[in-house]
Amino acid sequence: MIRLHDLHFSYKKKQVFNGLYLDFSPGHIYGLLGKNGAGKSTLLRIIAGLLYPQNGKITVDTNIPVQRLPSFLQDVFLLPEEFHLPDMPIRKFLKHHAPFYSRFSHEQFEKYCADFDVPQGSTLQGMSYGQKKKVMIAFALATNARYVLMDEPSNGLDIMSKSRFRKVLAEALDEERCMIISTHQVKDLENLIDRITIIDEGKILFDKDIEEISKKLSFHVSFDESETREAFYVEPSLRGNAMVSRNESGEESKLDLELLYKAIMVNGDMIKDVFNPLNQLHESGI
Amino acid sequence: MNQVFNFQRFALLVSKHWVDNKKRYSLSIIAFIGLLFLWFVYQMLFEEKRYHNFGADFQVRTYFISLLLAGSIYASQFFSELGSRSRGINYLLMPASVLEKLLCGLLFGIVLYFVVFTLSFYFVNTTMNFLANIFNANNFESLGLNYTPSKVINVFVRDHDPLNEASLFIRAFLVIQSAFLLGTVYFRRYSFLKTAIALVLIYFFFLSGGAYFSEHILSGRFSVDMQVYHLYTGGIDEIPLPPGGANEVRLPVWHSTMYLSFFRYTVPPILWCATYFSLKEKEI
Repeated sequence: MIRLHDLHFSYKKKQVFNGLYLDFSPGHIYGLLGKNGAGKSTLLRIIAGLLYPQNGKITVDTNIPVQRLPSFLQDVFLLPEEFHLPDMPIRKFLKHHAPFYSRFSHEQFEKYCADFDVPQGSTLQGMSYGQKKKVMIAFALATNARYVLMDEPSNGLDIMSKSRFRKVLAEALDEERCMIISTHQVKDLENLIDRITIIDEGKILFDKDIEEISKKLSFHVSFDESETREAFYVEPSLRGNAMVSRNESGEESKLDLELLYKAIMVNGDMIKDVFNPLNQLHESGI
Repeated sequence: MNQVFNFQRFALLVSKHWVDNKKRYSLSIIAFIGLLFLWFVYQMLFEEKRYHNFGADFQVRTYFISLLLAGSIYASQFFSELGSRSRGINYLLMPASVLEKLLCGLLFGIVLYFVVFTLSFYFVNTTMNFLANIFNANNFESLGLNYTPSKVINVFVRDHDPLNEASLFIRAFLVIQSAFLLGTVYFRRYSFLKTAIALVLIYFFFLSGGAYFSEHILSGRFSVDMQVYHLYTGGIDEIPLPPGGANEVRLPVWHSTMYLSFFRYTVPPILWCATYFSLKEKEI
């Protein structure tokens, strides 16, 4: 489990986190959302041990990330937004990089590359950015690292590859593994993540399971004015008003991550109230 | 799993470093050999004392000056990946210990560099001595003079060398090379220039420290072995009094042993330790 306890971090002039508490458990794919500069990439780099928090504690299982012990580095794989691949064929790259990861599976790598349509005989430098990214995603998953951190992994992927990316990640998840995906392209994570964490100005604005969100909130399109008035967020469209509102009926609707993200950014406090257990007790008359 | 040092992991790291950099290294060696050839050809054709060919002084100076110059440039490139975020992340997150990464740096940056540099130098030196002997023998013969062929000398062992200059240069090489390795980890950008400036500043610091020290004690100078302090009669420019008796201060033997040993043997390990901790605490 990744545990952040009262984490403080700042760059020279800019405070990024001021007392952050957050847990990430194995068996889940977390979506880390937020505006540009909200601290998503910084958080991933802190978890990977690339940055030292000024205060507070962070543990990954029993490891302290900044120690960067070899066993820890085998267990945590960070795929940054900008990455470097050497100028060599994929097979050679595997020959000299894979042995560092004791649980690396060549079969899995080949399977993921096949899923992504990446020809294995290619030279890395001759590939497009999107192709390189697919190789890196396949490599990251094939290391069988327990914690896979991905920063904007869908950037540079074409439409078909994005859908394959979701499929590959869903297949690669097991009970031992935790994936944290940071992105501002929320649509790319739909039907993939099972918990959403929104960071804004160094604080956790929202952190809930998708299942819980689907139970408590309703995502639908309507022309009904009374519904529009009571909605937390409304976005006009040709088909009617797309909105996020309280789920009164108990019937689960299809989660629209983009709409949820906008609703939280605009009306976060009211939405948080819906998830407040005290309010729920009050509403049920207890 | 050993978290500090594992030979298999270290071998993997060395092999990976070689594979990632072999093209760059091969080109650098070819370029260095080419430049050295040019320098020897220039010496052979255009220097006034060309009939002396490549004398011992020329070979020793060429060897050690180019060893230090090329070495500092090479060492300042070794951890250059830490200057780029994408390459630095890749490097720091490679599952190997800091000690293994440092040892890999010392192996390539000092040991292998020294071996490859020396082999390249002797390749050029031997070839050019051979060519120069043919070239000059023909010239001398046409003038009816006897020609003494020039020889490839051992730059590490010389006659009439009381200060053991080769050993001084090797120690200087170790210090400079280690300092540039540290600089490339410590400074994110322009590490070569910044390290060079830092070394000059440190040098002037010691120089001014020495000047301050000599101004505040009796005028004089230390003997080479640092065991005797010879007093001047008056100002620092005056001729020292003859040695012995009341004109000199004899220091305990341990003083010179400690002082000289510190500068001879401990500076490179101190710089390696500093590199280790800089690498360990490097943030990207």
